[in-house]
Amino acid sequence: MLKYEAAVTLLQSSARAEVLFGTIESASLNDPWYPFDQRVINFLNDLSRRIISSHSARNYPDLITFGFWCRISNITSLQQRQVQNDLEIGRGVSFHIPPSNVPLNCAYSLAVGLLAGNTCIVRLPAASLELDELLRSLGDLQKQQNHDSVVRRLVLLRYGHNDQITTELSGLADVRVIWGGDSTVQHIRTLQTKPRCVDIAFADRVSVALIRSESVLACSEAELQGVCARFVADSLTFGQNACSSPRLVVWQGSEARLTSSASSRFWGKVDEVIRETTAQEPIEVMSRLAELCEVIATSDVVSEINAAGPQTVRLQVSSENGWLESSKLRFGTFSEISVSYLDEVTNLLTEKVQTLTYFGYSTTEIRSWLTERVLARVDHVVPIGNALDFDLIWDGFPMIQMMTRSVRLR
Amino acid sequence: MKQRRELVASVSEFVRTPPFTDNPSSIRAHLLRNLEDLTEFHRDYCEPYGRILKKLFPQYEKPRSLSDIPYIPVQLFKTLTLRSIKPDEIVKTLTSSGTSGTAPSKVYLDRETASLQSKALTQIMSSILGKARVPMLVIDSPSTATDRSEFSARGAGIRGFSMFGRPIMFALDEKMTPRLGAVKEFSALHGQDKVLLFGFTSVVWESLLENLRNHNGKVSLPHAILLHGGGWKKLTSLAVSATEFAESAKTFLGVQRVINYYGMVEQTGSIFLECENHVLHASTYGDVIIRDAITHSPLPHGEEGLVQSISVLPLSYPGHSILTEDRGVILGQDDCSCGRSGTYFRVLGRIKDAEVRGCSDALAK
Repeated sequence: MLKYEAAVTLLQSSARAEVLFGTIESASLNDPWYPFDQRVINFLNDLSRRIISSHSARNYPDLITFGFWCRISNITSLQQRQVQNDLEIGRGVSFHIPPSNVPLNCAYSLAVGLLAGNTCIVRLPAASLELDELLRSLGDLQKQQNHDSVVRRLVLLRYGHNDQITTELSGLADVRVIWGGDSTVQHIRTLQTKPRCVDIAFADRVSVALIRSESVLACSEAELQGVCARFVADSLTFGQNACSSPRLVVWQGSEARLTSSASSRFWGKVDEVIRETTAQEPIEVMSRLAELCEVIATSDVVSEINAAGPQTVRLQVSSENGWLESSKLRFGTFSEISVSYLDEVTNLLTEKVQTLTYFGYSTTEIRSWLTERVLARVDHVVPIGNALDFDLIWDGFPMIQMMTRSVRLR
Repeated sequence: MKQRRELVASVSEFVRTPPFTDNPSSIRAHLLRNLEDLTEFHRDYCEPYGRILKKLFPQYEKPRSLSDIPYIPVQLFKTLTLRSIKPDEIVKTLTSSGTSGTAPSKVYLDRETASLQSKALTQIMSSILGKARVPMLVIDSPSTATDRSEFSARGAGIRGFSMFGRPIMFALDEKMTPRLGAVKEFSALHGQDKVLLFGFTSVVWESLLENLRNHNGKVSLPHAILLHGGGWKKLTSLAVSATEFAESAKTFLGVQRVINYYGMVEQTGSIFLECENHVLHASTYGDVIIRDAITHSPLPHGEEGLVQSISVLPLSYPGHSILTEDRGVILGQDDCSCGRSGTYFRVLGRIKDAEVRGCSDALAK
């Protein structure tokens, strides 16, 4: 079937999808482009300008963060980290299924899809204020004729759980970007695609923060405030629901005494930061308590509750693997493990671990430990405060490479 | 620790005391002792509860006041199997669907607990109905009452309250529209009697009162008591106030006395009834504590927070002290001008569902 026919058939049977931007017919006629095409970079930069200068966007820190991410200086610096090769080109049509509850994850997904040289069909999550704001900015760009060629490469639509529509859109796709969890990934994989379609699938993951006790003790008050604020941002921006938000805190200290005073200094400040900056919802505190009760009622992983304040709940976990069980707890619940040497941390990491955030180590130290011992056990290793920063390498996938095709020439 | 037999005897005796007493402080001391015993009993006989107690309330020893009694979140009855009896002692399992899409609460009753529940409910209801059964009009359909499926909390409620009615008639048909003939017949037969009208708040409003208004139907039941419960959530979304509800009941049913009750399937029996001043009253068999919604510390009277509901009845499951998701405020104790002793309070609705944000389950339901 020709692409165009497929698209028309789709429109007939998928009338229930609400198309908010672009049209499937025109989108499916596009040719792939080279990665980092200047037209895409300009489009994203104009989008960035609109977001950053918009008054109403200021209410949404996530949106502002995206605005800064897609400005030209950041995109070109990302581009410079890519291997330059004129024999790589976009795969064609990318179909994105972002998560329902990190509203702006879809923005990054589509930006990467465009940057890789693809047409992007995006199933938007449920309406939210920040997403509406993004759609307004995109709508402004749609009116400017200079972006026509890029605008034609973007289709944003919204529909309820509907396998028929998902199957039909999958039938147009050369690459699918499926943001998890596990059950969603498994389910979408059962829906048929073109034989050559590539899936980039993000599974359920958990994340860990690694802190050197001596470094916390050596902090000035201002430094402590800084690292605690960054830790809180990593953890609670999405109610600890983001895969890259830490659930386990590993303390590395040469003596138990040091770790004990470091952790009380650290958590004291973290609680203070949360009290001052985060509006806690009663339902979150309630769910936190209920989920904690479920875990302690049904397993022995929690050997002790170190603290259960209104801001955070800290759990001593009893075994190396036990923390994975308690890591499903959210809304400010942290499992804690203390170790003496960095090497002991290695055993705590498993293939479930996505992000390791660290504090108190030099990049060189971390790099040598990482490359010698733990490369196989973790996907992102970043300083505390950068857990949520979006990158073209995500969950271990080099996204641009996976969304492009390489041509062999001899 | 008391043996189970002693505990049953002690609670049974307690339920024989009147629901509203002249000697509230001695009753409260007695209530506290029973709750202390219940806490120890469930700690020893319900393993998951015992584990929660040990880890979450490690300091718990001898309670000096009701607020020292450990509590568990109401959601646990949906996610855990909580019972302090052997499977072969279960005579009845109460369920409630809660909000759509979530697992139902499961409450396991043995013979003693089921009997205590109906005794307590009888005591509380006799404070408004007297001892004899009265003609009863159930504002629901007969099939709801006989629906024994897992999810019919409404069916269970109707069956529970039916013990106060004789004869019993149903005001709605299977399509949940009024059987006007039956309602008129009921009013013709019992217009001069003390009667009980019973239904779920939203059903009473949407299926009966609104329908009567639309069809200009009116009956006169001046001596009726309209008892309704199950929450205002739906009516709040329809912007219907308690006053409007009562006005409508007066206009279309001729009812002078409308009584709202507050109760939960996890504490069946020890319900809280509204008095003439339209505030809810704790009976002798239970109490409420208001806790700060973030810190969960007990709050003084007059401050809004989460309702912790206490009941002396749950012997077969650890539901004697439950932190609910309802917001409320205690207005006072022992000094309501209606004359009833005990704590009186208001329930202000449910805490807001937060949007759960995260990167799982893009398509999963």
